[in-house]
Amino acid sequence: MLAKRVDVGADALGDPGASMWERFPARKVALVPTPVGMQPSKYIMAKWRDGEFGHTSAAGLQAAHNGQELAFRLEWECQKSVTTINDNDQFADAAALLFPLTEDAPLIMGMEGAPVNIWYWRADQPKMGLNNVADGIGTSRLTSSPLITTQGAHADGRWSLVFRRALAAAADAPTTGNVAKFEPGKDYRLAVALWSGANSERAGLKAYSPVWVELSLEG
Amino acid sequence: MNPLDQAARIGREIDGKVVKPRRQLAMVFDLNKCIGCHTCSIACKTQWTREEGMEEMYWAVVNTAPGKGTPKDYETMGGGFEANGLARPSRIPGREEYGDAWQFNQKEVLFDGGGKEAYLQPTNFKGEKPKWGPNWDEDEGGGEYPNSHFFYLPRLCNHCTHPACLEACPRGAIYKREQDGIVLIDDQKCKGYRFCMEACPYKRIYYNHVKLVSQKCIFCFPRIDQGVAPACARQCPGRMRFVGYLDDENGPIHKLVHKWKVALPLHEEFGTDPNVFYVPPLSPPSVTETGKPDPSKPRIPTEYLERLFGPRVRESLAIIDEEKAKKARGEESELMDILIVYRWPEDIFPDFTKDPATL
Repeated sequence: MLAKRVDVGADALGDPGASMWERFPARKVALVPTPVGMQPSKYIMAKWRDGEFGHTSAAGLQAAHNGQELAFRLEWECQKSVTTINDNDQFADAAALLFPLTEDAPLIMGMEGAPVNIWYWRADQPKMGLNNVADGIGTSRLTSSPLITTQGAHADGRWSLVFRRALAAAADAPTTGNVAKFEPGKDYRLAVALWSGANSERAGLKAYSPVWVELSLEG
Repeated sequence: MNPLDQAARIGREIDGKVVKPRRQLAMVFDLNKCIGCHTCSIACKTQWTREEGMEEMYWAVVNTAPGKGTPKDYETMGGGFEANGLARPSRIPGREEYGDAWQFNQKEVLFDGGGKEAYLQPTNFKGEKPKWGPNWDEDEGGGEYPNSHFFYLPRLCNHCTHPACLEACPRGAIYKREQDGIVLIDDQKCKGYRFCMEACPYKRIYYNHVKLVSQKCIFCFPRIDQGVAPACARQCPGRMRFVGYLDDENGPIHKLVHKWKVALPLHEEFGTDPNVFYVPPLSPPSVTETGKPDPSKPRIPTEYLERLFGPRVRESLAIIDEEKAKKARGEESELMDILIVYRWPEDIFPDFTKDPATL
């Protein structure tokens, strides 16, 4: 898919309701539940052995940049949104984008020596995107930079969400090995994951895109 | 990387067996000496759970038995392991089941002149009148008069040898200290997924809604590291909380658990191999319909104690009875001497006698 170069400010780029996003079609990304056998604990495998999770089967994905900032817009069906956590057994809706940091990084959370960069958003902390790096299942860790800005909106049984980051953030980050680099005119790959809070989905209990989405940044 | 290698990398084996620590710290609670004063709970609360987000946490609680416990009916929720080692599915108890920190209308009653018409009323985190709280059923117990009965059952994280919480965590955020087997949650690694709360059959893990991490008893490890007993044990007026290493043959823990075999784990069938042990309570004889004591039947039904502490309860109670009788006859009894705790603190937590005020 193409991340179009657009002539809009950062605010519009980061707004999932901005008219700019209507100008080009969304790429439909197919999602599947993560395999029960890949869950990293026996408890999770036992509790979720019926595989009743990760039922969101597709997400619409768009990308755009304005030369300064890169944005991804996700849209998916979610009839029952959860945006606040008041009790111990409540979990909020969440979404993530995953970018390989090396050529051979596996799509499922990377591996040692082949890490991945994850942009994570959770509906109970709506404006705070979290930059994570992971090199295997169960290893994701937050990094203090770069700043990932997020904006989500839930209406008519659908979430729309934009992740936004400075294109050059990798250059500024203290550990650039942990941060995906983006330059206009070049090609990249990414993967998508979604969690349904109403179904107590968190950690490896999610819907994810099992094949890379190819991405080109318009020059 | 296959999931097995993956699991090994994040600190535990996928089959739930953890690397054995060099030594294991343990506690023994002599239930015959617990007076239900909650000084342990308050000592713990004062020491560790005073921050925002921890209001409703009682890492150490004292339940009344028979009773529903904390959280309510935790014994029926599952968790832990089946006899064949498979993880037993459970659920996360809600804040009402634990009993959350209530708010009171102090302003209305005490400051806004409402004191003549209004009473102090609690509301829970939902803004509703609470229907449950920690120790809601305190001192209710079981049985019918004249055979009504109860005893106190202090509970905290069991720092299990086979911790279900540790095994359940997808992040390897929970670990057993190599030097003493204390089970800790690394709050830098914890992402608040709460699988540990589900998997723990004793339900002694809380969720911090401000820090967004799971938290529990830490066996006062910063005190342990300086030779000071855990706050709950040092502050116990009943001197019923023994602390020490299970392998120390001269210490009270080894003697009570392994030598005299009078200290038993709670709900051993949960399969986690707890390291908190209980000396079961003796009780006076039950009373017949005609008001006569029946020495063949203790007031606290032994069947009930067996449900909590397993089939070895009878044996354990018989040993205590026998040793008690010896002592009454003026004979020597090592077991009674240990349980009496003549010298405090050296007899009750010999390796952790340092006064925290001297540090």
